[in-house]
Amino acid sequence: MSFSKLTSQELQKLAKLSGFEVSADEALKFQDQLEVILDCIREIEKVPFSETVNNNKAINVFREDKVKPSESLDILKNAQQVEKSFFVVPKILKDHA
Amino acid sequence: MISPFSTIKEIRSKIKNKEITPSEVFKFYQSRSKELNSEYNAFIDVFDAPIEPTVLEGKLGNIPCAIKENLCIKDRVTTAGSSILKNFKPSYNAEVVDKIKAQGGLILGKANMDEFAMGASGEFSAFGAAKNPWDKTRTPGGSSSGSAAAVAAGMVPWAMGSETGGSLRQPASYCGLVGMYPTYGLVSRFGLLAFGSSLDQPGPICRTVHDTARIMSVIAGHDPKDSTSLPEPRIDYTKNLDGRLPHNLKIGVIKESLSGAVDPEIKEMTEHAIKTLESMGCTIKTIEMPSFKFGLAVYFIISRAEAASNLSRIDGTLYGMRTEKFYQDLEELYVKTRSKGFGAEVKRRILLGNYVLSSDHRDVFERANLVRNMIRNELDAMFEDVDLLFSPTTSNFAFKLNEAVNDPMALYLGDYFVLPNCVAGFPAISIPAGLSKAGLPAGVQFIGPRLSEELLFKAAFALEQELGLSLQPNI
Repeated sequence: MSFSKLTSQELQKLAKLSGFEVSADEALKFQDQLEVILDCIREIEKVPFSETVNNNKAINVFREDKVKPSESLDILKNAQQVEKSFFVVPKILKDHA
Repeated sequence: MISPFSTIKEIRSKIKNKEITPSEVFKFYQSRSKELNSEYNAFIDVFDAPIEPTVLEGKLGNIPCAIKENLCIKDRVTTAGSSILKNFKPSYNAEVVDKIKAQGGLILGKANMDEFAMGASGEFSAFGAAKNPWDKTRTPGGSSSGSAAAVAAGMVPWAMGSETGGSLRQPASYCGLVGMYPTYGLVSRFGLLAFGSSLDQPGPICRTVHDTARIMSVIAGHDPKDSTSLPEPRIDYTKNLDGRLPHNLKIGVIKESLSGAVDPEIKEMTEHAIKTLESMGCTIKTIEMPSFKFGLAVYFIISRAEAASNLSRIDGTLYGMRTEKFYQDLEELYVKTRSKGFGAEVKRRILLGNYVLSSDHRDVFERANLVRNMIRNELDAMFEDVDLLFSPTTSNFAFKLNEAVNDPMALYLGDYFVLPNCVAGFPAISIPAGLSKAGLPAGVQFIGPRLSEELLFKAAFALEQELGLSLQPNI
């Protein structure tokens, strides 16, 4: 299992995946706090499996492919910027350097 | 008039006997809530007028309640305790809200909570921590902190909360109330702002088992809008509460219940409850659940992975806050919104979730799911031998505010008894077991097989009647 100590580079990589910034101060605090929780998670390595316990009884739930009426324009109410029936968002594609 | 600590049953009886009018009941609780909220911060919002029910009569007719802030109420600000959703108004009701309204329930306000249900003390709310009505320097527990504080302080007779890993039962224990985690899938999660989708369940916090059974009778049952909703019809759980237990009920006491890890006064309360059950004709057996010690690790991995996934939808595009009007590009919108809008605990959980979901560590997540099955199988096997499990709900009393907020691990160590059944999706109910010498409540709990709510209510009601406690803080 891959369980080495959490480095600051790895933390920054996780922050990027998580879609928020972590300042240098926050990073130090988070690293310590997360390390403690990772210690607990590492316990999972100790579980003695004599056989694979994979008897998940989950089933898929489907519904009929029927169109139902919906109040779709209601959802525009919470948007910060709206134009006609569109949500306005910033530019999606970055400029090339 | 009425005592603020009246049960739903008592209030309904007084209304029926014309000792009080419905309007007087509502005004009484509303003014008490407004008066006490600056002290206990149980509510994020106390409404000026109740949300109109869809019918006037019904099982909850004329009874006010608080709704946890992560349950959607149409056109009312629903923040999940987070500043990132501070102006968010859902366009629909949560299913449980519709069910409550359809039985005449009056919604008096939105209860405070840890941000996105991530916490065990209420201290991670963006709106300030709720306080324990038994001791204002202490937490009421969390994440259903405001729900528990509101009921314990007699601001409402009952409240909706939610639980993912103890968030109903731990506050119930800390506040001297009854809290239930239903079988996963029994109560619809439609309109519950998701934290851990395979763990979350809405549930009630009430003063008594009978009241709790009444609420469950209203909110349980199949909902086609929630694809994880079990195909169960609604049952009246109050029907067979006669104080008697099934003949020779076999109770398995979890071995760690009487260990050194549990506060000695809680151990004493647990022992007293066990002796009481014995005197009521139960067969008591001490049992071991070897897989329980992995409950915390499994819970960490699965809940954080699901949280990271669920919270990725909160990015400022369709709803929620934005930090400014103009951004270079979409990525800047995401990063600025989420950096500012999420609190530290939410960020920690998302980071950890993405850790276990990243390709370098996927074996962690896979293994956690296997251990989860192991816990389920062990519980199923144990229930061939005993009818119900029993333990203290929490190993400690409500801790002081600010004690654990910088030490996430300390918050979770008290959850040993409440986590494994959540991980496995099995139901449990916590009832008050007594007061410490310092005047703090603690609870004991029954855990049952899946869909054993009727038996859980029967056992909890019978024990509650025998213990004969009537816990009310001095407010």
